[in-house]
Amino acid sequence: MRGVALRYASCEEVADDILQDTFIKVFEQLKNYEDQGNLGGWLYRITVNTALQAYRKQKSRNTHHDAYGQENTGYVSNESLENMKMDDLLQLIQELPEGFRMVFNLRAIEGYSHKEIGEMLDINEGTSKSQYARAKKQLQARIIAEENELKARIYGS
Amino acid sequence: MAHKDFENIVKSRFQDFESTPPESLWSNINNARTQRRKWFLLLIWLLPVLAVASGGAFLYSVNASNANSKIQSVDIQEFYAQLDKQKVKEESKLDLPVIHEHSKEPKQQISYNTPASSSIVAQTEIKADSEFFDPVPKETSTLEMMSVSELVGSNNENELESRPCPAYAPSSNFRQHSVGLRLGSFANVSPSNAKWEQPPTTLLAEATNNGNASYQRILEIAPYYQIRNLSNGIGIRANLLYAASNVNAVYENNEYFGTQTSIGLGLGGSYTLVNGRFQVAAYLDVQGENIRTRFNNSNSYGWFNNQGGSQVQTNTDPISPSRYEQWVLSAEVGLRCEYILPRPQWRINASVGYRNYFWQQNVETTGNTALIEIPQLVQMQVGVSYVIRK
Repeated sequence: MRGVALRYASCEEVADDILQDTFIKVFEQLKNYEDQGNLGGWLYRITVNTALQAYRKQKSRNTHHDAYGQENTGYVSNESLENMKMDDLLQLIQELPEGFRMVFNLRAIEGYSHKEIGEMLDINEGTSKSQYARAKKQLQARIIAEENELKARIYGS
Repeated sequence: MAHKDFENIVKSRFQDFESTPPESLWSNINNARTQRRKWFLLLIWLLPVLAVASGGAFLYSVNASNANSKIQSVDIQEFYAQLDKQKVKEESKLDLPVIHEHSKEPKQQISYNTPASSSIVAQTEIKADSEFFDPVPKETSTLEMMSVSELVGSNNENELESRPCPAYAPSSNFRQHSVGLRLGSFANVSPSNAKWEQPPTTLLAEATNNGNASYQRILEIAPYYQIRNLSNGIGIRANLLYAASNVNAVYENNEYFGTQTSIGLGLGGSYTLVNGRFQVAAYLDVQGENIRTRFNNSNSYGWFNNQGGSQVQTNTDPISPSRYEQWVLSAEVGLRCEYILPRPQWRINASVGYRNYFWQQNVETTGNTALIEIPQLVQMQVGVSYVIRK
């Protein structure tokens, strides 16, 4: 559950807040669960929903749009992505702008359609597509940058 | 890299990704849950209190708005308490002279209708001659003998105020005797899983870890007899009592659910703070109760030890039945609101009080002597009473 919260949050503190809210909901709703389906899946859904609620709350408080960062397209090899440290990959996802990160998680990892994502985040389907594409580009660009920095450190020294 | 590959790789990498939360998270969750429970508990008891207070304020304002009418503003109980009863008696024995003028002018009939909600009379028509108000009779009058009861028909304001109302006239000692029935429901002044070792003294008392227990008094029925002195507002009350309660003990993952029935006797005093149709009184009651407790776990039973926790014992050595009986003493202070209905013998009342139990129970078991303590209770009650004698 914390792994899921970390993906949706911008940092560990926010992830722990999401996790705390999730557990409180779980304790309150446990009596209504009644062995319906997979408990893990139920917990997973509650975690994702709590993260989305936190995002919506923050979005309503903070009206500024997500900054579109430098989007350098490049080539990310399978090996570099697979060999990348989990913490680094998580950090890159966490550093994505809030909206990008939500769409990216929901689409790439949870596998929701853009229409569903649009309904969840209260945005257009087109916006979801565009944000997903930009998130992916931005993430790839950052992975390349990380990779280049690593190479420079190794070969430069 | 093809987009699909990128997505698949990211997805597979997060497939089994897990992270251990810091220890502080669990204490934060516990704190947050406790805080929510406290607010919930506070809200549960705040709402009825607010309801009673707002209801009382409403009734009070309705009562006050009737003050325009001199007749309505007179509360019959308090009014008669200030009368010189002896004088009234003498007047009622003597036939009083009443002036009947013989004016040649046409008589003007004036009708006074009191609203049905008047505390004195319902829909009384008063007729009088207009010249009755004239302090100096214009023409020769004849005196006729008329009893006080006949004076009800006159229109003199002073007479009207001092006129005894046959139905509600007080007795010579101005004491009001009434019988009533009150129904009460209670809650612990603590979280429901409060420990019984030290009865919490505040609404937000913390529970401790030495076994949890909770106590809920579901319903209390108490018929009572009350005597109230109308001149000084002091009343005394005696009541019988029947109550049903639940006891819930949790210890080492076992839960023991017990039921209690109580019968008792109470004695209390009150002082009237606000008079009128809507009345408020502060009260202090003391009650003795015989409480019978039975735990309905068939294989084991629980009790509460003198170390402050609840304990359980598996019933390997048959110890049955797990019933306890004891006498306890309690004291309660609170505020009671009463509203006099249009039929003034009938009253409805509601009160909020704080009750403390002084347990005197020792439960003898095979290996232990348990001392049961229960927390203080906040109680809400409603009732109805009927004035039988004044």
